[in-house]
This record gives sequence, C-alpha cells and structure tokens, in this order.
Amino acid sequence: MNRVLRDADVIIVGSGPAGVSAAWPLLEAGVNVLMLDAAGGDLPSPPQPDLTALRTDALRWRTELGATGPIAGSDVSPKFATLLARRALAGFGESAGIVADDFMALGAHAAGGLSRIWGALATRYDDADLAAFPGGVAAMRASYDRVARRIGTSGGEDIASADLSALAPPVAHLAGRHRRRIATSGFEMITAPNAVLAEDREGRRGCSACGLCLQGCSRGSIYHSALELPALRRFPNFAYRGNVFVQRLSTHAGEQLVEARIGREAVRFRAPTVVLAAGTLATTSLALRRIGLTGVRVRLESNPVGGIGFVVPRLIGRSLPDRAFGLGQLFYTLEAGSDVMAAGVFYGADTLPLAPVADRMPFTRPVALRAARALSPALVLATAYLPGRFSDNHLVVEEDGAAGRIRITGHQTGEAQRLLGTTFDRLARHVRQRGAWAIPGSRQMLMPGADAHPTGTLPMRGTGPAATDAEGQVVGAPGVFVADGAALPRLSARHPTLTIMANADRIGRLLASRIALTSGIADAG
Amino acid sequence: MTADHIIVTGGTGYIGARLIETALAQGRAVTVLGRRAGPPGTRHARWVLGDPLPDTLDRTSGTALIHLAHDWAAGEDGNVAGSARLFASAADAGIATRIFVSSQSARQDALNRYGQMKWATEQRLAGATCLRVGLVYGGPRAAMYGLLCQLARLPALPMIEPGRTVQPIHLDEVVRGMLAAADRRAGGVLALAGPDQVPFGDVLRALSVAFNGKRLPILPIPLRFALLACAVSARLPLIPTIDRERVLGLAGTEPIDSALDLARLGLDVEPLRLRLPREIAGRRALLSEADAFLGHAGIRPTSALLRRYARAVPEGAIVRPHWGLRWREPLGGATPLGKRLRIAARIAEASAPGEQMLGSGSRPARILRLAFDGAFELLLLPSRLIASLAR
Repeated sequence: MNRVLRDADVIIVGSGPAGVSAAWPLLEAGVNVLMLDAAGGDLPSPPQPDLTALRTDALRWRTELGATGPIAGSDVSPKFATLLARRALAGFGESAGIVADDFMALGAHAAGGLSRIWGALATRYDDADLAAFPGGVAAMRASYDRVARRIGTSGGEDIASADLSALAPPVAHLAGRHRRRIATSGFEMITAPNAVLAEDREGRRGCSACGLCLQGCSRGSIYHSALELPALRRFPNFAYRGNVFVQRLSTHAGEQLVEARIGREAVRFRAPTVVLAAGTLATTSLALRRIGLTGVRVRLESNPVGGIGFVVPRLIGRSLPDRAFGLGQLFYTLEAGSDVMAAGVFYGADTLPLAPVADRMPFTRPVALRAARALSPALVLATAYLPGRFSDNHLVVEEDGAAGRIRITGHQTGEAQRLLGTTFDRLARHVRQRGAWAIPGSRQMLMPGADAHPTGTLPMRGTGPAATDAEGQVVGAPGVFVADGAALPRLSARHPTLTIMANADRIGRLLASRIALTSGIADAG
Repeated sequence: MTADHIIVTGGTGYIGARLIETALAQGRAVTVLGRRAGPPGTRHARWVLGDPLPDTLDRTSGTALIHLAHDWAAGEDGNVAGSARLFASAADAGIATRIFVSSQSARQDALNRYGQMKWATEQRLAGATCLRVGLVYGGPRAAMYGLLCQLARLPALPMIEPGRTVQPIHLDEVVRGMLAAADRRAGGVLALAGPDQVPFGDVLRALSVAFNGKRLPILPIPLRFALLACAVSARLPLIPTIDRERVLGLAGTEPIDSALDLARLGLDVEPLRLRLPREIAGRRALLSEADAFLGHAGIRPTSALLRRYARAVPEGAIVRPHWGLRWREPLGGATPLGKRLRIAARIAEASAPGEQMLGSGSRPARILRLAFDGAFELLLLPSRLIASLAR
C-alpha cells in the first residue's frame, strides 16, 4: 500500500553535513523543508568520562571489541573499529544494495551520516582546486566562511605562533623542531584545522582533551551534523522524519515523488524539489535510477590513501598521558610530483589500541604487547592522501529490487602506489629532519575506499552522461539536486568534508533564491 | 498428523534417552516399554524383547511406536522374532505408525551380525517405517560416539581403512528425524544419515581437534590385521577390549543416498565440523584454548574474557601446541595459530588485567625488562622459525 505523505517545497534526503548545510540557507529564506533520514535510535557514547577511566575499566574490552562476534583484524583502521564506528557503519552496505570488489564502501545510516565518525579535519581547498567549482573561488570562500562560523573550528594556525602544549608529546616534539627550521619548499605544515570547539558554545562544550574522540565525543566538542538538528528544528518551516529509507525517486505531474520505506510500510513523499544528500553512494544510486542511467559504468573518485609510523626515541617507555586528543594534530601538504600535492595529518597513538603496532612485531605476543605499549607514547602516525584523479574506481547502478544495486569496482593504480611511495619517502625525510624516525615496515597502503571520501559520480558541469549542472541539478532530472560529495567536480588531496558543506551551502543558497523568484512570480501573477 | 503419544522401547540407550527428553519437551506423552521405568513425566509398562505390546496402553489415534531396543544377548532369533512380535501386536492394537530403528549397515550380506540382524528384522515388519541410521555423534559420550571420543584422545590411532566413508548425523538431528517419522512426514525405508560421505579417519581427526585441540595421527591398518587384534585384545588382561562386531560394523557400512529422505523428513543436517564446536566438549576445548592463549599473552584471564575469545572464533578449537608456546609461536599472523594468538593479544590488551600488566612499573624498569626480553626473543627465533615452517 502506498501512502503519500506530507508536502514540502524541498525534500532533503539525508542528515549528513551536506544535507544540513543545504537546509540552513533554505530555512533562513523561509522555504518549507522536509528532511528524510534513515537514522533511528541513538549511537553509543563513551562509557567512561575520560581515557584513564576507560583504560582501567574492567569492561573496556566490551567497548573496544564488542561483547560478541569476530574481532576485527589490525588491518582495519582503529577509527572504524570502535563501538561507535561499528554501530554507525552497520547495515549500510546491505540496505544500500552495495556489492564492492576491492573497494571499501563506507556509509552510515546514523543521524549525521559519516560525520559521526569523521576525523573532523576542516580543510579548505586551495584556489587552484576551487577554480574547478562553478561560481568560482569567491563564492566558495564565502560559503567556507559561513559553514566554518556555523560549526565552529579550531587550529589551522601557523606552527611558529601556535600553542604546542595541547599536542601529544611526540607530535609536539615534531612541531617544535619544525618551528626552529627554515622553511622547506614542497612541505608545509600547520596545526590541524579541526571542526572541534576549543570553548563552550550553544550547548556544545569545549574540548577537554579527555581522549575519547574515537569513542564518540560526549561533550559535543567534535562537530557532527546531527548536533545541528535541534537548531534546525527551531525553524517552523522545518520538518524531520527519521527511520525513512528512501528507495527511489520518480516524477509525477511536474513534481518529485520520493518513494521510501518506513519499517515495512511503503510511503511516498511529494515536493517540487528534491535535494539528495544521502552520501555519495546512496545519492548516486537514487539519481542514476531516476534518469534511467542503469547498467552504465560511472567513475567514482576516492583519495588513494596510506599510513606510516614514526617514533621519537627519547619518549619510548614513558607512561601514557592522562590527557589526549585522538584526532589529527598537524596538517601537512607535500609535493609528491610535479603538480601533485599530497596531504595528510599527523596524530599521536596514545588513544589507540596497540594491536596495529603489536601485530607487526616479530616478537612473541607478550613481548610484542609490552614493546608496543612502550612505543605508543613515542609514536607519531601519519596519513597520506593523494588527489582523487589518481583513483581508478567505477560503479554501475542496477535496477534490482526496490532499493537498486550498486556494483563498485575499485583499483589502486601503479601510479597511485608509486606516488604514495614517493610521498612516504619525502615525508620520512622531512620528519627525520624534525627529530622522528620512520619505523621500518610501518608503511601501509590502504585499499581503495578506505579514505571514506567516495565522491564525484555526478560532477557539476561534468561532460559525461552522469552529471549535474552548475547549481547541482541532475542533468536529465530537473528538480532533483545533488548537494553531497557526488557533485564534487574535483577531489583534492585535502579532506573534502568542509568543501562538500560549503558547496551544499552554495547550492542551498542558489535554490533558495530560485524558489523565492518563482514564488515571487506566482505572487505577482 | 502429530504423534502426541509415543511408545518407546530402548528408552535408556544413547538415542532413546534423548528421544524421550525431546518428545517430553515438545509436550508429547511418552510411554516407556522396558524392564525399568523412564524419566519423570513418562509412563511405564513392563516389557522385554519377545513380549507383545502390553494391552494396558493408551492407544489413541495419535500414538506412534518407536522401537529402538536391541538385545545383544538374545541372538538373531530373539531380536528378529521379538521385534516382529511387537510390531504385529501393535498393528493389531490399531497403532498405525510403527517405526523400527535400523542401521545404515542393514544389508543381507552385511559383514557384521548386527547389520544382518537389522536387515532380517526389516523384512519381517510389513507396514512399518524403517529408519536406517548413520553414524550418530553428539550429546552424552556413550555408545559408538563415546568410543570414538575415547579413541580421539589417543596420541596416535591405528585404524582400519580410515578412508572408508561414513555419514555422520547429530544425535539431535536423528531424534528430530524420528519424531518427524512419528508424525508421518515420510514412511517406508528411510536413510537417516548425514548427506555427506566423510572419511572415517576425518571424523576422528575432527573430534580430536574440536575436543582436544590436537592433531590425531592415523596409522592405516588392514582389516585382517584388525580382526587379529580383536582376538588378541579379548584374551589379554588390562588393555581395552576391541569389539569385533564394531570393527566389522564400521568396515561393512556402504554409502547410502540420504539427501532425498532427509528432505522428505524436513531435516537439515549440519556438517560435523560446524556442529562439534557447539558440543559441550567442543566448547570446553575452546575455553581451554582461550585460557592457554590469553595466558600466553601475559594475563590471568577472567571467565568473561575466555567467553569473549570463544565468541570471536565460532569455528571452534584449532590444533595448538600444548606446551612451549613461546618457542613455537609462529612469526606471522597468517596461520590459524598466529591469527588466534593475535586475537588473544587484542583481548588481553583491552582487559583490566592487561592494563595492569602493561601500565605497571617505572620507566627504567620497563625499558630494562624489554631489553632483557628482546635478547631472550633472539634465542627463541630459531625454534619459532622452524615451527612457522613446519606448519
């Protein structure tokens, strides 16, 4: 049985950073917005007030490993292995109908989407990258500023003037040595620009360095988009519905129909305009099936990514600090080749499980555990990302059942591997000059998709059959807009979330003025 | 039609006891025929093989007879004629569903007497359902299964034709099959055996791994030699007697195609390897593995941690060294042993005892100890390397 539910001017699918960012300008312009969200139920928050309490908690194993089921190997990023991440990611692939080959297809049905477990790195693209965006550098910069003001950021400072005392000791050591060096060409470093509050603000509290970042920040210091839902709900023209699994889009009499499932019931929502912000994979599936572009190979961008570990020898064997910050602490960009900018973050290992380190040691387990523990206060871990143009993934959307199917084929090109290798080499040299040693055997190239930055399937002003126009409107489906990563025309090596939000803000703004214009004409008529 | 009253002979045996337990749990009435009364909740009628069906019984339309009793002392005539008498009187009494529990070895030319007897009995029971049961395992360690469990504990096992296949089926599956036959889901001669042909040696190897965490070396021996050993063992004191009947029963079993019959009975039979870890002995072996591995990782594990380990590896226990784990830990994490030691290490690290082990001591003490351990680890390397290669 199909029920048609609730009309609105604009239906936004998804409550992730893109959906929320697109909602703000629409709501402020007085547009009636209905946000549909697959989320239902709450995500777990940390069971203990801080890291020290968690470390000595007799039931810590339940938090870290879950009470039951297989235990993730150390090849799974610790970021994805926490109870919070396991719950946030659970069931996405299955209900989105994803079949992935050599690609880690990540997505979240939780309120706030993947921002519930993001690294909170709020980097902006540089002008060269922004030139690819419709509206140009100026429009994106203005949107960056608006989004950054809204979500609250910290860091992003020149290391020469930044306060280094908040950094993990080995990272602070690295930054301290960097400060004393004269500038090196091809390698730049700043404190990580994070979407983390330094001070209390609007119901969220400033970071207390409790160290439980990966377990889900209970203070709300780390931004995720579900934190904005209460503010959105204060708009009388905003409505939110959870537990709604959107399955397909169709059109009827010039209006958009959103077909969804609530529990077992099939329902339809109707509006003149739909904004897709369900996360790149789900959005792509909905958009391509809407324009009948099924069975066609579409390029899927992601950041080829790897990691490497360094050690600051004089910190080996120290006790683990009581205060810690589990996310990126320094942000770097590095020239990996002519016109190839790699980027990444340095973070400490003091909040992480020892397994990834211990599992690589040739010792017997008891000694490997103790050696890893001795290393951990001295460890600096770095991620390295390459621009999305070095990725080589494709997806095919198929009609299969109500929710469709997405087949993803990932591939790490030889060039990406070579460039990551060069990035590691150069990074190791720069870091060595700053007092830390690369750990032999710690280099790791992760599988495509492990970056959790799938984007660019419907690029704005793209030339392929799957594309969106300068305003994010799907080519071939007037009235359907894409506000999330699927519309990115370019994936830089810098983490894309803030850019996706800024673009969503820009698209929401354009849409608001377009709606104001048409309703103005209607009023005049 | 549901059999809400079951009359059972042989109710004290390995299969009979579980059959009664299950039938009672399903809310069926049970009458035990035999010398002794059955468990609480059952009715009892005195009966020995050779007697007709006692006429005092409740024989309402939902009644089914399941005949499991076999009397080794009664000889061929006693068993065949006794069963025939029971079934004839049951038919006269109007009991339509009469089930004879036979054996996979039932054949006219069976090597063992048991198989011959079962076949001869089947021929005499017109209108009855005959269930030819395969190798039954699981539950209490009794009957053939108990013997196999004992054999699997040996350091090495000489075995007659270990490549000959059997068709294992779990005790609970057999009981479910019998009750399905009692409910008349299917009739006639039915094979109640696992659908897969499993080499008999593999059954013993699987038992050895799942219950003892050990590899069981099997030395194949010819049948002729085994029968000689039976004869010798029967005459020598102080060593376990090898039963000639059982040896022949195993050697003489022919494959039967059971898939269709299992489908008719609506029975799913799980492969032995997947089922053994859920047996009590399998579970105990896994917990003992957890204890060994978590202990190796450096902690004194709590029972909650042991259970967590067990839940992480539902495949059950693996072959593991029972001594000298430090000298035999493989270098990498690719082997099953290496993988599980890493799982144990993760659990140990995330536990309170682990934190105590890792977080205690002063910095110089920790570093000194690590240096000492590092040197010792060098001494362990050659033997660990050999252990890694040997696997």
